[in-house]
Amino acid sequence: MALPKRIVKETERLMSEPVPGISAVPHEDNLRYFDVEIHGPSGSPYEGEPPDNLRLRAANYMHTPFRGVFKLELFLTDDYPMVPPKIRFLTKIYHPNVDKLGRICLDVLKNNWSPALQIRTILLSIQALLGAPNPDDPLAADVAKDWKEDENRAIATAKEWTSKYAVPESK
Amino acid sequence: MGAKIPRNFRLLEELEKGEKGLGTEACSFGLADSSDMLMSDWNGTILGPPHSVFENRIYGLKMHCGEQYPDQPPTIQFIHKIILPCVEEADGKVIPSKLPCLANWKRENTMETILIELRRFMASSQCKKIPQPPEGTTYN
Amino acid sequence: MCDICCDDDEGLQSFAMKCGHRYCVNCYRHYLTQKIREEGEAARIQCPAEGCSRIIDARSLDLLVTPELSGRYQELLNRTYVEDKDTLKWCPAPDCENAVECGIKKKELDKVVPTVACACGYRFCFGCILSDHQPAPCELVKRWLKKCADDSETANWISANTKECPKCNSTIEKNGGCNHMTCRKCKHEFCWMCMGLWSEHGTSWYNCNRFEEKSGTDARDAQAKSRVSLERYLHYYNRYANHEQSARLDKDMYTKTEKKMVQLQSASGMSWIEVQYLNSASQALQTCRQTLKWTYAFAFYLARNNLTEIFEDNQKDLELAVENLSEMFEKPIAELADSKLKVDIMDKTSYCNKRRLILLQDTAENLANGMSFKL
Repeated sequence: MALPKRIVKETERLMSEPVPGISAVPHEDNLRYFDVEIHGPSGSPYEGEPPDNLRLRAANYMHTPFRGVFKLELFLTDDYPMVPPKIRFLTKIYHPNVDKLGRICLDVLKNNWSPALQIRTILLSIQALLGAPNPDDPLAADVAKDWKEDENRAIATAKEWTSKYAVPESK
Repeated sequence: MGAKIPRNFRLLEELEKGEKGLGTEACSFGLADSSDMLMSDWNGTILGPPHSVFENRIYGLKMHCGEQYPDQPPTIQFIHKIILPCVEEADGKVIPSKLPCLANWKRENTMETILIELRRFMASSQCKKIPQPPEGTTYN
Repeated sequence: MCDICCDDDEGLQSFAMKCGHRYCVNCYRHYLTQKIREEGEAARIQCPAEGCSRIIDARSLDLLVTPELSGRYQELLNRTYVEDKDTLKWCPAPDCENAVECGIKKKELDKVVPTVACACGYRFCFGCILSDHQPAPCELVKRWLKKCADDSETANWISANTKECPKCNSTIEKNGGCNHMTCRKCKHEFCWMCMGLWSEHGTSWYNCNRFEEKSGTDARDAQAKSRVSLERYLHYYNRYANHEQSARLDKDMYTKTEKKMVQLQSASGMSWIEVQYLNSASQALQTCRQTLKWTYAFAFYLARNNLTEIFEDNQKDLELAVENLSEMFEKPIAELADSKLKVDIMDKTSYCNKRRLILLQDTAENLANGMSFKL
């Protein structure tokens, strides 16, 4: 089936002018299905560990990026862009607006979606969500509760999960 | 034909349908482990159809969706002992070649499709009178 | 170029509202279809641009979409219009598509029972959308229905027909001759007759003669009270339920009436017009029973004073008239053909209707002047 011009253009632009800290690559056999990587924003609990730490653990991590890298998957349904893309985290993440299965609670993915928004703007919104968790509009109720009761401890857990799960693949 | 929905998003759709209880009342299903990001293992239940030996019994099933789902059908296994032509007597596994929706698997079929068909199969005249093991006994 | 589909063909038709966000007509159409058909939106559809809160007006919409979608939009718009307006309500009768207008204010509901009749014939309360419940005000109806549905009445029954251990309140049934009770749960020992402490009894095991002992009177009072209140409730409930059941048979009755009218036409040679009196009688019976039913819920909560007697007289008159009419109405066809009975039925019908109006007028007046209830 022919891919709509809109999707072709968006994909081209994602490739030619990538957003720093974000990548989205379509599957070869399904051009509406994207592998996404988002780097945790610096200063956030999702930033990941500094390189010194990594070097101590294994030499072959030397040249890898030292931030937390989160994998996501994104799918553009037939109705895109009249409806938002479907998107979820594949990397485990401790965040009040992301549930255990990686589903994301974000206004622009629901009622505030506009067909003028794009994949890149959505991914930027998700990156911003990592920098500014919103425990008042939770999807993961237990995480949100922790966040409200003891923010420092919750941030510590988020950091712990980041260094445990959001590690770039060693190559 | 439209866009081909990938495995994970398809499973999320099925999960949401199951969670909202949009399906029929006689069959239900959900994730075996609600934090399994791979969403591979599912539990299903079938309420025995009326006017059959299965009436008022609740049958539990394990369903496994591999990486190729929904291009390939899931594997299905009864937890509670049942005698049916399409079920292995030893371990409760559903024999794909003997259940039409598995034998002629289509991408549009869902776990719910299978549960409903199994239930219809149980209610069919060839099965509804087959003597059954005591209620509640399970395969080990 | 259209920012939604990225199409840049020459001669691409585009559209923008005053906000200036321009998209191609095709995308606009898709967008509106999605919003109207899939999301059921109408009055609050915004410009497709991100963050632009300009609402798409009906005229723009008509320019862009097919007449069919326009119709659906109008339907949704009407629905929101009615739902947003306090003076409009949808008629709750099945398959009725009318909306009914009434200017009643919420705070007036304790003084008025705003009963309305839809053009389809269905009568309902504008305050709570339940079917006509005159003379009882909405709040009272709500309480009554909750009371009837509640298990609290079952609990009442248990307390009236069994006794509780005076110490731990477990329910106890007596199953032997001896009055010496030992609670199975807390081992409290007491006398079944007077509910007092067994240790105060001495040796009079089979004949409790300590009826006036203080520990016994308190426990007995509580049980007696519960029994009286239950009996009172059941008195009203039985009458309420009886009329409700009769009301439930309304439908059967109506069809029976129709059949009767046909039979009567052929038996007596009367014309269709001439047998309409049976239809009127049936209608009157249904309406009056509906009212009677609610008078019992009303009476249950009514505080006793001189107005109560007038109310009960009105209620009695209406009830008697309704039962009389009902009896005549059930007579076999052969007797119905008698012209004297026809006159009687017609008289009784109008009498019933009159009695109902008098009752409703009286209570409505008293309600408006502030009646007192025991809630």
